[in-house]
Amino acid sequence: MKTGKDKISVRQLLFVFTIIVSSPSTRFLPKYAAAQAAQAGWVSPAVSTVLFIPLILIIDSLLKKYEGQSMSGIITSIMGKYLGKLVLVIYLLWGVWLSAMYTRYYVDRLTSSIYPNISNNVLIILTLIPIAYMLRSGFTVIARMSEILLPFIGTMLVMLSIFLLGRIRTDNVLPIYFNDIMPIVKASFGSSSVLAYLFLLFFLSDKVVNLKSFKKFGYITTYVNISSMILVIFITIGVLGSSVAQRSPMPVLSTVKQVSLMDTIENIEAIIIAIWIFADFTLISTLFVVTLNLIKSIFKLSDTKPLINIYAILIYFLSLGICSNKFELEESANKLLVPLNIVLGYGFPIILFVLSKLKKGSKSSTKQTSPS
Amino acid sequence: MSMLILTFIVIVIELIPMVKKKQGKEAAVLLILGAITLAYGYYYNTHWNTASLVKIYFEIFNIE
Repeated sequence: MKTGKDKISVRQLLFVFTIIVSSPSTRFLPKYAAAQAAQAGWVSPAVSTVLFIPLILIIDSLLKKYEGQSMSGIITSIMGKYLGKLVLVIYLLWGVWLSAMYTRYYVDRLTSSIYPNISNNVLIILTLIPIAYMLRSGFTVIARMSEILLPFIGTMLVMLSIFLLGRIRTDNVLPIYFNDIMPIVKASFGSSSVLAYLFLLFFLSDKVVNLKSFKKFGYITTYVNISSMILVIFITIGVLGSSVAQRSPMPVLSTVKQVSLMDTIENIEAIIIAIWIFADFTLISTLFVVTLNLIKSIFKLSDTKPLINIYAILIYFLSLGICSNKFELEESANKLLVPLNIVLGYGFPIILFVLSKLKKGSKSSTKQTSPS
Repeated sequence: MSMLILTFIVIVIELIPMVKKKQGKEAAVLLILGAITLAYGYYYNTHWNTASLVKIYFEIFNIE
């Protein structure tokens, strides 16, 4: 699909989404799933389809009804000027919070894996400078970069899984009883909360073309993301066991460290760290673009490029001051971010969809009275 | 403190072309963002060892 200079295709947007999801999937999901559902945790992403498929259908319906508008425009059209802007401000605060939080996560992950002696300030600055520089070229750069690199990430994930197959212990992932249904549903909130970022991405829908094929690509994205989540959790719990996986600071890294191919190829955790760096870079950049687009919609600005630098400095301070230690950061993900993501990523779109259906009659009557 | 000085410099550098192009609304938003950044930056610099937004949230929502 050919796209304009500042436009991306829906396929590219969903590539970006898949990369965005891969970052919290490897950091947060195995721990959360193991803590909530023990050996049955790996089934939990499959349950997330119950929430995710309706979200795709809701977004598709809204995009078809309000063709050519961004999600900000759709919200303002449905909810009115003042209430709509209030909702946009809530999403803006969510975007700012996520940007600061994921910047801090990224830095914490690097300091606890490969750079233990480097200060957080330095790593945050080294992350935010390239992001601020790259965003001046627009979101298309991130989208095209994701399109090229996603197949490599997928291949690496599959290869690592094949290398680790021999180390999986069946008693770590089985048996799954009827009594495990409720823990699995509880664990599925983790994967559902990560998939909720899809709605946030549609604040960029004015930059996306070919939205008519969103439903088709949406189903493929669901399949790819849910399978990769199941694979990551299955391998992690299968190799480490649920008890170790929920207590380990970085269970996926601990799992990948166990890869040994005929006692010659070892210590290939650098691959997973490279994937993390790229995924987090894409995630933070996309959150920057979404937040700046929301600022643009709220204040009806013509351009947001002059705001990139000052926003990057704000995120620098916020990411440093978001928590005083790693324990607080992890607790906030479990107790604050999961419910918040579910409410804003699934709850509000449902309300929006219902309101759009209620407004259906008034919209059709407006069409009839229009002079054209 | 050096980051606060840098913030001030960035605000001025970004503001000058906006004023020349008479982009009043953009300049106002930049100043609002700049003011928030300077205020939070100052707070962080003076409370760097105890600053925690997560803790404030936990207190607001009474989460233990």
